[in-house]
Amino acid sequence: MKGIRDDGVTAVIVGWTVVTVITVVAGAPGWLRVPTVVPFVLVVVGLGWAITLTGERALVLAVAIGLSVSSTMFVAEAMALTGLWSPRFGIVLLAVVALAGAGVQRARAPGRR
Amino acid sequence: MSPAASATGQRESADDASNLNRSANALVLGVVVTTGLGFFYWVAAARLYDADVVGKASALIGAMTFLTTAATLGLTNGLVRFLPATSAAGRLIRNAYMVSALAGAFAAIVFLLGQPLWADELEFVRATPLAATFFILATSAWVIFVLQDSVLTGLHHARWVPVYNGGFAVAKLVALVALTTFGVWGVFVSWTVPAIAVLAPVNWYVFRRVLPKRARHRSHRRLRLRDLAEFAARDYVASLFWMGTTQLMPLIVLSRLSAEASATYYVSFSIAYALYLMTISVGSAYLAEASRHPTRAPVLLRRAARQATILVVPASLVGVVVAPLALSLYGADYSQHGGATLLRLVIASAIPQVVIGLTLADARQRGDTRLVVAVYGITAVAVLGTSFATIGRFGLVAVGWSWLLTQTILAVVLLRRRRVDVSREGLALAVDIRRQVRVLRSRRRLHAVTADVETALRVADPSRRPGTRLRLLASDNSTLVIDGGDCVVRVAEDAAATRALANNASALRGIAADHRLGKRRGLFPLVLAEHDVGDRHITVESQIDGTSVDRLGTRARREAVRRVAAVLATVNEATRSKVECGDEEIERLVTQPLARVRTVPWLSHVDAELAAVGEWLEARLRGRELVVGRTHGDPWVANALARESERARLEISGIVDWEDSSPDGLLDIDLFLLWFSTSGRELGDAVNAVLADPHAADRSLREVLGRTRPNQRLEPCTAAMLAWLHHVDAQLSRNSRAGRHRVWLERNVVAVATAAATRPDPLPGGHVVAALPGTSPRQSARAWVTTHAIPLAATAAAAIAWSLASIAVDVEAMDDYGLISVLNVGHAVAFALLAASFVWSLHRHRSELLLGLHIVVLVGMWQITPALLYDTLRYAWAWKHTGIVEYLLREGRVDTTVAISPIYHAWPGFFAGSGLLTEAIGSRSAVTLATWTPLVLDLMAIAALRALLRTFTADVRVLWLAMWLYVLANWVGQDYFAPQGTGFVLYLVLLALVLRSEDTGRHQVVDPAPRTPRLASRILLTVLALAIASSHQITPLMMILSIAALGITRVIHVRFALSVAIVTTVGWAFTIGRGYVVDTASEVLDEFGDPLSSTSATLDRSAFLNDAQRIVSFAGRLIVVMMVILALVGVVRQWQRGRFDVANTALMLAPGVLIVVTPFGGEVLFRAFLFAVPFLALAAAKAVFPDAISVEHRRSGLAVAVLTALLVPCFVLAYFGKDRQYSFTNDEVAAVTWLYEHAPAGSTIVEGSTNGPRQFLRYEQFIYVPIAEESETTRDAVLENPTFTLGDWLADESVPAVYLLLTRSQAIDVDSVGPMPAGAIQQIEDDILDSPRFEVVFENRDAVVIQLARRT
Repeated sequence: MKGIRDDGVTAVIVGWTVVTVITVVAGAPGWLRVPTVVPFVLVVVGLGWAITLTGERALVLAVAIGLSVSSTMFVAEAMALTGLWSPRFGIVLLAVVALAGAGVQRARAPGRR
Repeated sequence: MSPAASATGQRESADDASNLNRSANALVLGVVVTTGLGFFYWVAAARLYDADVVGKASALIGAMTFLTTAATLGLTNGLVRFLPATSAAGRLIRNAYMVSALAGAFAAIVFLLGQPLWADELEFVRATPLAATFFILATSAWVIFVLQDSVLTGLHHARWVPVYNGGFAVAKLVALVALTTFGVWGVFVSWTVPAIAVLAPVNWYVFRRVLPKRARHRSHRRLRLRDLAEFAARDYVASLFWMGTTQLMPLIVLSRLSAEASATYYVSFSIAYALYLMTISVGSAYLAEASRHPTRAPVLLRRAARQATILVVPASLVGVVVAPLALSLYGADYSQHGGATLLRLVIASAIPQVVIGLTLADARQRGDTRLVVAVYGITAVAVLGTSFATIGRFGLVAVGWSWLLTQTILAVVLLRRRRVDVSREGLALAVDIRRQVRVLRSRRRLHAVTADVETALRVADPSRRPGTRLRLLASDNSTLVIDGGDCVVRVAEDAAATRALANNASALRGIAADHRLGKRRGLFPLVLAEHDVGDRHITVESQIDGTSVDRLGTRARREAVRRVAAVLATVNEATRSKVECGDEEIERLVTQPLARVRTVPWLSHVDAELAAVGEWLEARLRGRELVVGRTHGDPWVANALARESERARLEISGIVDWEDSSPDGLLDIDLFLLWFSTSGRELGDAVNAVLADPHAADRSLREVLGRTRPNQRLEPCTAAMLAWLHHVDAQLSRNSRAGRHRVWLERNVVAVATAAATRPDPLPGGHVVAALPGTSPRQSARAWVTTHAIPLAATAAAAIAWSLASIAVDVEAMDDYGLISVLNVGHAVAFALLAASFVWSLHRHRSELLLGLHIVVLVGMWQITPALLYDTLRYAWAWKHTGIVEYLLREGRVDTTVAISPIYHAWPGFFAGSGLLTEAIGSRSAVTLATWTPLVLDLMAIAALRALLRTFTADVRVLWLAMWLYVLANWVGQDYFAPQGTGFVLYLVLLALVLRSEDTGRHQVVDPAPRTPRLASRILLTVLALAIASSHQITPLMMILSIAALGITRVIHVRFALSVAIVTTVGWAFTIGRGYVVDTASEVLDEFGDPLSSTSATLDRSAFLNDAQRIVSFAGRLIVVMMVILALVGVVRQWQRGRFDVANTALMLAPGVLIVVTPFGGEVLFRAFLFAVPFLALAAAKAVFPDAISVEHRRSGLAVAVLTALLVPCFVLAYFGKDRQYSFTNDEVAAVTWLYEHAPAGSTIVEGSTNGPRQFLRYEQFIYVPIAEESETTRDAVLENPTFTLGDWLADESVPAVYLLLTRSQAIDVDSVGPMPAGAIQQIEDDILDSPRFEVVFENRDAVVIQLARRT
């Protein structure tokens, strides 16, 4: 995407995702979880996909928010409707979504084959 | 046609008709066999098995059949349509089986996962892994079983369909008898295993016998997967409409009448549907035959119509007569209550269905699947809608009439349509006439100039023989290009064309004489002769071999474009020189072309912008050193010729059409114009893309053309604008049609001039500070201070001042005016500073980042203040919603059958997401999350709104003023911890996507950035639509309404977006939300179309308000009135300027429909305003800035300041005006928490009102009785004698315990907004506490919990 350094964004997504998963799975204290988990769930999950799919700078943040919120709701809904509630598993699933988006975005970055 | 050919044709027709008859008869027989033996099967099952077993088995088989229908993906008709003509039948069948079987397995897995939710009685199906696996496999196999009917029909072997269906029916009867000891599984296995057993022989026959034979004897066409996918997708949508119509109708009958009526309808429709199936079978047979022989389709259609009529009409007539008898076989009750009449009407509707069914089969054959979707869509809306509206008054008979009238009207319309399709025929005729007229006119012109051309050719080549055939190569209004054999002749017929031809000849002669170009000169035509005859100018050029580059394949074209750029660069380089840009260059590059452009009448409304562009270019160019040289001036790909070299490599053989050439043109112009022509976009879009991201342009030039610009010191924007101006001037000068073509001008001139004049780094319009070249560092620093430092400092100061002022706030001193009553001068100063800084930024620099910062600070002021000042979470409903999350975290699931608030469990997206987030941050309560939700939601809405409004305007001032107004006008407070806030954000993102990806060109997305690819945007769209549909009830309706409004006004292509919106909304409502929908259907129907009933409740409440709350209420309404008036002014001002924004107007008005159709009480008024306010704000912003360059900028600044001053107090009053009752103390929360923790499950909690922290813990375990919500009589009884009435209530022994909860916020709420007199709660509390019948079980400063005193 024009104007955003692809490598930098990929690194941010991967880094943020890893830190989030570690803080949640390891049961870190709340003051540490809030600044990692909230942006992750609201923006980071869909960021890679938003960059890959839109190609429009004006849309990326909005679509990243839309995709992140939607993904969180889908994962949580599926767990709630099937009675298989597990927030840790939910965060891991969201991390997979985020990392897949980052991977696809990285693979499609200009200059890569 | 020869007699022999005629005879052969007739023979083939007869064979085809015979095949059609045989196939149709076989399929009808298949229907009869399946239906008849199916009837016996269920009779036998009823006798051999328990009723409970039969019930469960039929439900399981019904579920499997439903999943199968969903999993065929439109391939049932797709196979019949495409198999007859394809050469890859085997592959098609295998792929269809595979895809559908996988879809079936997926559907079965989803069904199993959600089984507790939608089919609780079928828990046995996932009790063991074996059972679940068998169900999945059986569903997959059943899909193939269904599809093989279509395979055999498509391969013209339909005769086997009744055979194996008969075999299957007999086998399942035998299995049913044999498996009686296995209960439910016995029935299910007897139904599915014979079907699985049939698959092997049937498909062995297909793959081993039919397909090899077919491959030997026939030549077929290649199948285009895209055609099949498109056909199947649309047919699938049509089938979903049909499924919806048939499945929803029993639900409507059930909710409006009774279970008995629903059963009668179900039986009646099942009988009549057998007649429908006859037409469908004949239609399938016709589809197969006509697809095989499309040229004989009309004959076959008549034959099919005759056969369907013979089958259906007599059967229908008999059915009409014996309808009561048929129903009596099911029981005497069925023929009562209008059942017989209903059956007669539905059976009669099978007669017009013949016309509809066969017309649709014909439409499928022709590939007109849109008609299929339209007819099924109309049927769904008409049948369900009319039944819906009339069933209450006329009973079951109304449904029959709905079917009959809908089918009859549709049949009549389709018959008329088939006879004469006026629009299509008319359009085709008009196009044909126009084409013929053009050809004739060009031929006439060629004929008129032939003698002159011959003369010119003889001048060029005296040895040429006269009479050589001339061929027209191309023409426009004033030029003819003629193939003269070994040369090309150009004939100019007016002065402009003559000038262009003369320039072309001059350029070519110059090139030919320029030795610096060396061998490259061979790439350009030689001028052989130039001749004036009368008023015509004729040139003869040498002809160059080769193919136009724009006709090459994609890869070759890409390579050729780079080579063209290299050739042009050679010319540029060889002739280059440097000049300092002075008056002469400015005149030639800017002033003259711009003056010509400004003379076009259609451009008068952007004259100011064009003038500004001129000034801007001049400022950028003057004094600069420019690299100039020979330019082509119009190097688009069609002017370049390519051929294969001797080494089989692509090479450029020539570049022609040098009419716009200049010996001393700016060299960057050629590069930009070549790049623009390869971008696949309109010129205007391409130029705007450069303006939006100038540095990307240089990168793209390097990537696409492999070149860098010769004038590297010139900004890309400047070079691109010069190229644009040069091209527009050339177009307008050469072709007078372009000057009259308003659409071309709008897209390529107006769009660029407007965008250029309103860029963040703007053109000088008299009031803009821009760091122009040559500005000294000191001046630049001063400019930076003016444009950035002052607003940044002011914003920071505002934030700090607001924070300091908030420290001094005493919330307890708040009166009935809410938060505004405790704000102080510091707040006013802080806000004034922020507003002034915003207005300053809007007019001085317009940096989006800076303007966005103001909005973020504004939102922060509004939302951080209550979060920090109030003790606990604000607003009773937010507390209630945290209770749903608490339930979810406690139980680990949702329960759609829960007694209290089941709606939240049926649309659980928001609550589940919040639950996940709550636990992920290590909390067990969502209260903290809810406290900060308004801030987060508002910021997310700002991001989404920025993306959405950017599609409407490139004017940064309009964009951010709209956002500012949105924040100040959005007083309805739907941003608290609730599903609608999240739904609203997703809705804004969805609209932005829809407007960008599905626009028809009517809504010109002004953002010049590259568009999101259509497939990607559609995937995103589907994800967002599903998220919206699963999390809220009104937002999906609004999503449908908005998309429909944009479709009706032809702003976007709605097919996909609307389909997705409807399918996700209806799909969710009738699966997960089914229970709630069925339970509340009658309430919805009662309130449908009665806007007064839904809004009067809210409006009537104003009668109870105290004086302060009246003013608060008035403030909100004043904002609505102000915004509507401003928006109207904006619409009128835009309309006066010829820029009426149909998309914004449609989206502004669409929420009005909500008020009419939804039954959400008075709440809907707020929701309608919420959905309208972004578009009202945009129209209002356009009222302030109606023109791209505002010549009245001082007045605009004043207008923004006045508007802000008017809106802010109204907003603070309307949004925070109820905060005395909406803010709760820690003591209140402590009392309620104690009560919820200590009350036994099933207890009743009597409350003063619903205002307060409530239902946030174990919410489903209590019964709530708010006194304020009781009837007036009951309330009066409580007030008259609280100890007696409440004593009775609290003495209820049918529940474990009864508590009376009275709090501070309940009392304030009742005092402020009623419906009891002021002081009522206090009076109740005093009376109760004075009475010895009661005892206080918990008490603190702000709340008391009371029970009946225990007897000692």
